[in-house]
Amino acid sequence: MSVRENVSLAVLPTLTPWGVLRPDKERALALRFMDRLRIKATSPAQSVRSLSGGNQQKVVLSKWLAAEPRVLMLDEPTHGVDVATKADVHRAISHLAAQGLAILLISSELPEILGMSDRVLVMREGRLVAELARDEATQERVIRAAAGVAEVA
Amino acid sequence: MTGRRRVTPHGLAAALRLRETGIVIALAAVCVFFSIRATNFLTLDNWQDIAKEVAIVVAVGVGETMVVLTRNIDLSVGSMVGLTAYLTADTLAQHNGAPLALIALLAVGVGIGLGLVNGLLVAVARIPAIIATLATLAIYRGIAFEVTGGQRIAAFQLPDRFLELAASKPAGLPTLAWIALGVALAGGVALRLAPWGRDLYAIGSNPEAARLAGIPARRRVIAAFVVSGALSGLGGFMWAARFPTVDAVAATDFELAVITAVVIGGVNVFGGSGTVLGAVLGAVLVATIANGFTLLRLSEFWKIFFNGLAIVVAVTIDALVTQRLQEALRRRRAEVLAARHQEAEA
Repeated sequence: MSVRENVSLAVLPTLTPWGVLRPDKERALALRFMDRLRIKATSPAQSVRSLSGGNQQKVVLSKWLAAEPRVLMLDEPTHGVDVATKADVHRAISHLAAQGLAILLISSELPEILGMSDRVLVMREGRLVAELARDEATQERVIRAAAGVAEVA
Repeated sequence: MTGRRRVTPHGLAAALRLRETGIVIALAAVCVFFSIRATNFLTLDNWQDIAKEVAIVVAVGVGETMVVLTRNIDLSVGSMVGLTAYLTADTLAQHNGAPLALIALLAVGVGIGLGLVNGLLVAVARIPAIIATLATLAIYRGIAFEVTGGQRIAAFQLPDRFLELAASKPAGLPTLAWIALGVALAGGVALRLAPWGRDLYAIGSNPEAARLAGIPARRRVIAAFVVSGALSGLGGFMWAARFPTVDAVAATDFELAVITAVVIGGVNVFGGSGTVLGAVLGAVLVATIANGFTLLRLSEFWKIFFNGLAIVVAVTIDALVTQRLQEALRRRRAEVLAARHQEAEA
């Protein structure tokens, strides 16, 4: 399916007054997000499958941002994305957080967590084992908590 | 198109449209060939014949297209057409004065019921569609045998105004073809502009992503089967008007004609892509070839053989196009990545 069809997927009802889709509105929505998240696609009609991994992620992000959520849960948003686009996605996430969105970022990549989060919650075997504020979150602390090793005083 | 050429989005869109253009070209070639070889091919009469031939396949094919888009298949359409055709003919033979619209609604209503059973078996009982509808193909045919009790309804038992549906040609197009055209237009518009139409594509192209996007996949799949049943009911109504006798074996193997049209029309059997226009063109192509072969007095063998050949050719072209696109895309992605890495290192 195309970029346009993907971006609109979660908000189709808002684009379909009287049960009929408004292609013009749908296109405008897609163009808005392509611009906002800098999705590198030549047109909203381009197939998502033909985009790079990072741009595919941005399309997924657009799909849910279109629904104007107040809380956004992101599970491995930069999984399988090249370095340059990763920075793009991070920038987009920070920008959203700055706008007041609550973002729950799930990631197995430590630098990403430490770089992005205001608060880090560490889970171990299905339980929360630590809550660290931005300035106390270090790689060592997170790993210790995750591994269940007591902190050395 | 050279292999090295980059696939631009325009090339991509063109390639996707190519599916329909391809059939149009094939259709044109077939027409030219038959026009030269068969003297009465290019007559109005003959085209009206083809239109009548195609009408029922198209009406039922629209429903089949919707089912196939969701990565399912409905093998029971032939049995549903047969059963509803008999019910239509039988009811009209007993109540000669019954309003036709009411009878059509009855046939569609029965079709909805049968389609609902298919939908529930697939979406709720989670039986693979190919198995579930293979079972109902047999069950519905069995019901038809029970209902007919070996009887057949001949055309002379039916009211003339009903048989007129097959005989009359308002504006040069057989009434049956007008009905099919209406169904195709409605179906095509629904798939393009109704949100639930879009949902069918989403479900077929990535079921998991569709579920996560909040699409009520189960309901949509059931709905697709219900539409397929409803249109099979309409097809049964049309069948009863078109053929001189209707009995328990009416429309046997008809599902093969419908699925052939849909597949040649480029509706992907793995779901997610295809259009009503493609299915209609596929039906017209198949019917035109069959018609031309009849005019040339070629044996039934060649007709069936070419039907099969057409499927193989259509699916092979599809596979090649898809493969080519994917290779080109992979290459392009690799190029972009390599360029980025160079940038990053520089």
